[in-house]
Amino acid sequence: MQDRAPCHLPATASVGLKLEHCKEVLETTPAFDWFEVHPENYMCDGGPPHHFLTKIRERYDLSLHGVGLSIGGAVRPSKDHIARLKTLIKRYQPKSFSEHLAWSSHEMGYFNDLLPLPLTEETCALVIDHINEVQNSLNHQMLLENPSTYVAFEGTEIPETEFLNEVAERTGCGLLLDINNVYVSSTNHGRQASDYLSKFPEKHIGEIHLGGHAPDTDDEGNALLIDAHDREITEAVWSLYEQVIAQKGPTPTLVEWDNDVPAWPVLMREAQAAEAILQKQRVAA
Amino acid sequence: MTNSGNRANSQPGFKGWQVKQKAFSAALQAPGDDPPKSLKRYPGGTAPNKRFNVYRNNVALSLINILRDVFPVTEALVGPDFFTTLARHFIAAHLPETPMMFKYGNRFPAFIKNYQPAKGIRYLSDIAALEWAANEALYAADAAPLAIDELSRTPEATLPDLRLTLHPSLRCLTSDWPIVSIWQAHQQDHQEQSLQQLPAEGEAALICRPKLSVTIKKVTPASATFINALNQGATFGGAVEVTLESHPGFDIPANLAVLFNSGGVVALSHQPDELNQSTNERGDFNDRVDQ
Repeated sequence: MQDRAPCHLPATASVGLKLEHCKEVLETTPAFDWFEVHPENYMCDGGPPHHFLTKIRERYDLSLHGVGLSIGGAVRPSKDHIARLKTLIKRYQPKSFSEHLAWSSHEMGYFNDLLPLPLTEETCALVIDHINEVQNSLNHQMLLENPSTYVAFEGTEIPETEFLNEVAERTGCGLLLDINNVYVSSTNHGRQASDYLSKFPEKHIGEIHLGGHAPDTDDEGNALLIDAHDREITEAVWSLYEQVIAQKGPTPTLVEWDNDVPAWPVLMREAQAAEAILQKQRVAA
Repeated sequence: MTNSGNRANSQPGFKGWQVKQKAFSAALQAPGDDPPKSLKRYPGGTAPNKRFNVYRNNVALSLINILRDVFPVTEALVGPDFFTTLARHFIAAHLPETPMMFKYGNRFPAFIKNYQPAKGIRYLSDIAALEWAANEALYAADAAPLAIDELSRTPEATLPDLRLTLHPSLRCLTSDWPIVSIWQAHQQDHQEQSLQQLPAEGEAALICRPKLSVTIKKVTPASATFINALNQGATFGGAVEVTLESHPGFDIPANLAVLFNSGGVVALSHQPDELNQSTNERGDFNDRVDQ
């Protein structure tokens, strides 16, 4: 299968690295090939973040997974923020840089959340424009992640899989398939996750994300899943992951756990479970 | 790569998203308002209140938690419920300016100073300023501290013209309140300091991060004058002179030892250099509590 996604991470499983786990990781040197971090946490001049990431980088490959570019906003991504990313990319030489199909900044300020945009011709052109600008400025191709959403917009929207495919085709960016987000959004909008996955442009996938979600209900008592990243991955998401890997083959896979962060061994076990699925596929192939 | 900016500009509905995004942002910051009109309603016509509130909660709770992490003693002094309300009011007035969350909270001490419900705790703003200084110190540039022995290599005659480049993380705050004693009373490794037996007079705090951990030490008012003079670019002789004016009994060797032992000095020179310019910029932090 031709893999066109601009991602040079090894096709193995890992975790989103938290600062509180760095010491233990450096002491126990777990058998991962790479780790992923949010670059925004490393845009400081010095201190523990750079101390630990420098040591981690000596031993492991890195992926930078941004949350602050606001690619889905109406205005262009901040030039200052792109410049800061460029500095980090130069310093840490990551194997991959990814961001979200979402927005987080407005003239009012930065909301510290990944907010939804209507999927229209207008926003598709904007996102393409913004990704072109980011990739040209960074001189680095990026991956774009499918979002988890709780609301939809009035009017006709382009199906998300078509929207992402158009962006990937027109910019040369790859896609980061977050299977938990697929499950959360599909449930929240009354659709089938398997249907979404069957339409996802597989050839553009450069990385996969897995994570935990929290159950809730909406105003009418329907299931509303929250992309909380605060617990174990559910059976439903594991099952979708196995199907994707069986179809696509081993793909770099990351477990995200950002809130109520557990002890290191708990997080490591989640990644080992993903690695077991990848290994099963390697053997079968 | 295709430049599709023109395509966006030629769309009849251009700026449609810009308008909707503005309304979405405003609704996020207005908890009592209806969700934005651009959002799809339920088949029966009900507005998606709970769904939109997921975003409102994500924004508010994530930012409250960031403030909680940076200002634990401030929170302990007012209790978690009061702190949550205070933080919500602060967030409504000041969203982060950038996605760099380690910079969020710089305006919190000044906000507390003018926050009417907290007026009864008159030292609260100074405690928040101390915690903010520690947060800044944590993420400041790294530098290797010099040992005090390095001073002995400077010929005595040239000492007055010597410039001490202080550690980029170093901050020195003075307050009318015993801020260091209050802070220590809330630290697990300073249990000897009780909130019931606080000194009556104000205190000065020396904050520095020579390696990975920030230290906060009580220093004398004379020491604070001396360190702040150095931090604003004065020569060693100039800083001593300024300090002796207001504190005639100033003990130079003892205070040099305090400064060096905190890891606060990273270079000695007889030339004003770029590092000294950057230390001048830090004057803002040093004066904040006094203002």
